[in-house]
Amino acid sequence: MVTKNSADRDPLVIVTREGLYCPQADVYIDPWRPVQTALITHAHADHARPGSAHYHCLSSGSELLTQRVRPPLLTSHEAHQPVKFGPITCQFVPAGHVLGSAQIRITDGEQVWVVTGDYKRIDDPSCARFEPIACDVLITEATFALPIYRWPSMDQVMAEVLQWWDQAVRKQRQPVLYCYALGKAQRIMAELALRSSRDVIVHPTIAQLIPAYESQGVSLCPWQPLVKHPKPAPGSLILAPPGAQGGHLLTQFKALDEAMASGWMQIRGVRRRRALPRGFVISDHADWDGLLRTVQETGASRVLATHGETRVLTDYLNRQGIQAARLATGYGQDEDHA
Amino acid sequence: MNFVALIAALDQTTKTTAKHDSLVEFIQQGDPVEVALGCAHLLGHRTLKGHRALLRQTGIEYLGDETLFEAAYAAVGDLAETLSLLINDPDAILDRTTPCISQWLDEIVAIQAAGSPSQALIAQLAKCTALSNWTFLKLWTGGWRLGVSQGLVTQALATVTGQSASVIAERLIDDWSADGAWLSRFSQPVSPEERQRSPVPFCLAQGWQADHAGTRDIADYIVEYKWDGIRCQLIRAQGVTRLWSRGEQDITHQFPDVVAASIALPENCLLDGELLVIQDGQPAPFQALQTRLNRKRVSVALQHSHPVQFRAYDLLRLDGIDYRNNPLSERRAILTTLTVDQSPALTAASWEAVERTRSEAATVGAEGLMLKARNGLYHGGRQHGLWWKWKLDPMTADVVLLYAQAGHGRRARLYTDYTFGIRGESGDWITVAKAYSGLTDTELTKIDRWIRQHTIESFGPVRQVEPRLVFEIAFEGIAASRRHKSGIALRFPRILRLRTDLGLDDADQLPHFHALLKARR
Repeated sequence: MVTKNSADRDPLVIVTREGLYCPQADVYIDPWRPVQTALITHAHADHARPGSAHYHCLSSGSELLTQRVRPPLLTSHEAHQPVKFGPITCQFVPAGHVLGSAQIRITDGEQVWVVTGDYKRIDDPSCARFEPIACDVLITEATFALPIYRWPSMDQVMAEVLQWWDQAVRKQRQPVLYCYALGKAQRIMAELALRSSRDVIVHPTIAQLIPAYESQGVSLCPWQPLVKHPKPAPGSLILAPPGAQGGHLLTQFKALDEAMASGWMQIRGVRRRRALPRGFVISDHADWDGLLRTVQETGASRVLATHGETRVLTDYLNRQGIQAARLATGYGQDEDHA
Repeated sequence: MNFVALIAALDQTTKTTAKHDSLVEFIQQGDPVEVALGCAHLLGHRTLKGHRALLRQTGIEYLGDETLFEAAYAAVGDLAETLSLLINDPDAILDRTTPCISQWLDEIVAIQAAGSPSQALIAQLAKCTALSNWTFLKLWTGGWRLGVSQGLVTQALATVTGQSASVIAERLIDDWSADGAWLSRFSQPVSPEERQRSPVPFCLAQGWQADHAGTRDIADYIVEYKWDGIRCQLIRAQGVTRLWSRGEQDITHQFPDVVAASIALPENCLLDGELLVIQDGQPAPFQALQTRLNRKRVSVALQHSHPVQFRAYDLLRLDGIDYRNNPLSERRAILTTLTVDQSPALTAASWEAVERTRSEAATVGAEGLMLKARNGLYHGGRQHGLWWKWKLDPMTADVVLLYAQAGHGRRARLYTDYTFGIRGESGDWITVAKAYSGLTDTELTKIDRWIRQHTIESFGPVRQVEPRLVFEIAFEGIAASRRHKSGIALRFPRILRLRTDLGLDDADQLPHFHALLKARR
């Protein structure tokens, strides 16, 4: 019997009008249109869309997904627990992106395909660590697939954040750190809890997601909600989503010191376009080294890139002798949560 | 505060006052030589030639992959920044805190002389943090993009020394010997000779609206043509001619022909006027003047093919007397006694006659009219009611978006630089204009998304898009051009609006531009 290589065998994941699809199992992964069965990698809006009939996710992410999508039917799974769909076995494996984020391992007993969803390789106290999975085909994100994106250590960045915070307070200004409401904000709160006993004031959009973290036992720093009246006592840091910039909850402060936490802050031009004086490089995605390391550790013979700098990554891998191609997906429309 | 700390401070604020304060702190507290060199570099007086090719080569060698380097550079939009992000050793946590510029300049010379300059540069960059490296590389390439203008540095020096900004600007022209006494030389009191040599703040015009005429008497105004050249104060003092443009920039060296012609003027005078290329006895379109700008050396041939002339319309100083507080009518009366090309006062019997003159202004190569209060004094800045500009209405055209390129600086990663075209007779697309400005950030973001979704092909950083979006653009002038396939060149094209109501067949074609060309000339 001749062993087929992965390229000749029937693909376990294809792209359809609805989304990434496993025909053998008749399930979709992070579909962008309503379908019967949707396996969800994480609760960000470009990956978890409402309207499908039956959702599956990692159990630690079920509360966030419920809040975001209001699924009519939701089945949650423990990490690594096998789930059968006909001849196919799926597993949800931690992706380290945000609380409850998962990679999805798909196998028919011969080939193994992995859909990473969004992921990062550096440790995050607010969610489980990414686990590399040996596979034949790796379907990866490529948001930051350029060698200019290499993340500094969180020790270094958090030291900068604390220093900036202190400076603002000394100047009697109110520091505001813009960060995506789901994931980034809670990660910063968890990082703060490791380093200080300081408390933060959080915008309502962020606050409403905090219970999902608390019920999963994530230690966050003390916090109070941001309200219009009375003004919070000076000295605290405000965490707010980028969309709150210029909104009524923030314009009540005369002297704001604004900054943003995002991987995009690596580039001066991006920060200046947002007219922000400070940017902190904190990303929930894999950096260049993280992407390459993942490709290597999974041992994948073929790599498919879903969103971001897909052309750069796949061209580079092809030049390195790893078969790679791009997949056209609907992910990564909103750059703010990077 | 050393130079790296200054750069960090300038980078970490968007407020001009905070930048000014940081500059003042640096100038007051920095090492004197570091201050002199730092100011010189912020003002663009680089002592080293930028070796962009070497920087690019270094990036390619470091990555061992040219395509990857080009992709990274396209995403960052700045060569020095790209390198500082690529060669970014997380273990190199030391920022330079001591004076560093003169040492760095030596190191750059050593790198250039090394057997393998790119390897020497990589070794240098491996030692320091990204911020230090960015500063180091910017010393080399220039183009800081820190929101620090020449005026801001001049102003900070003025604050520290207590001198006026124009005196500082004048002193900055010659004095770049970066020794420890540099700053103290700027603090010396202004000599009478210096006062005679300095320009004065320019009187600026406001936009005139047609309905302004209503209650006003035409007899109160002197009407002149508005010339489309470079505003300039010409100063003769102590046997030397100096040309100053707005923003206290000395542009003397660019116009040797104007300097040569100025010897016919009295020994001590200050005239306000316009620099124009005169061809066939008439001011040529601004494009002609552009060929004369920003050249190190202005060849005799170029001076011959594009002769520049100073056309005066005001006299501010003569024989040491300051006339700025005399009415315009008196200043112009004295001006007419001088031997210099002058912008004439036009006869204006009625507002209707003025309107008629304006509509025909293009026939003499003007871009509209100036209405100046007859009894007005010369006042720096945009003083209400003194000078009015009444331009010809801009020309417009509906054109199609063909190519887009990501912007630089704060528009990095956003497709904001557009190339527009029209359909030629055989149905092919001909580009007619590039435009960058006129849309809001929200519109840009929307169109950026559209561009990403409708790309036909990418050529490096340039995306060719489906020809579907029609934009209305405006431009101040149009000239025949042999350099462009369309045969026309537009002056100051900018985007007015996205015309979602227009289809491709509604867009303009070449005959529209030829008609405009004919009407304006």
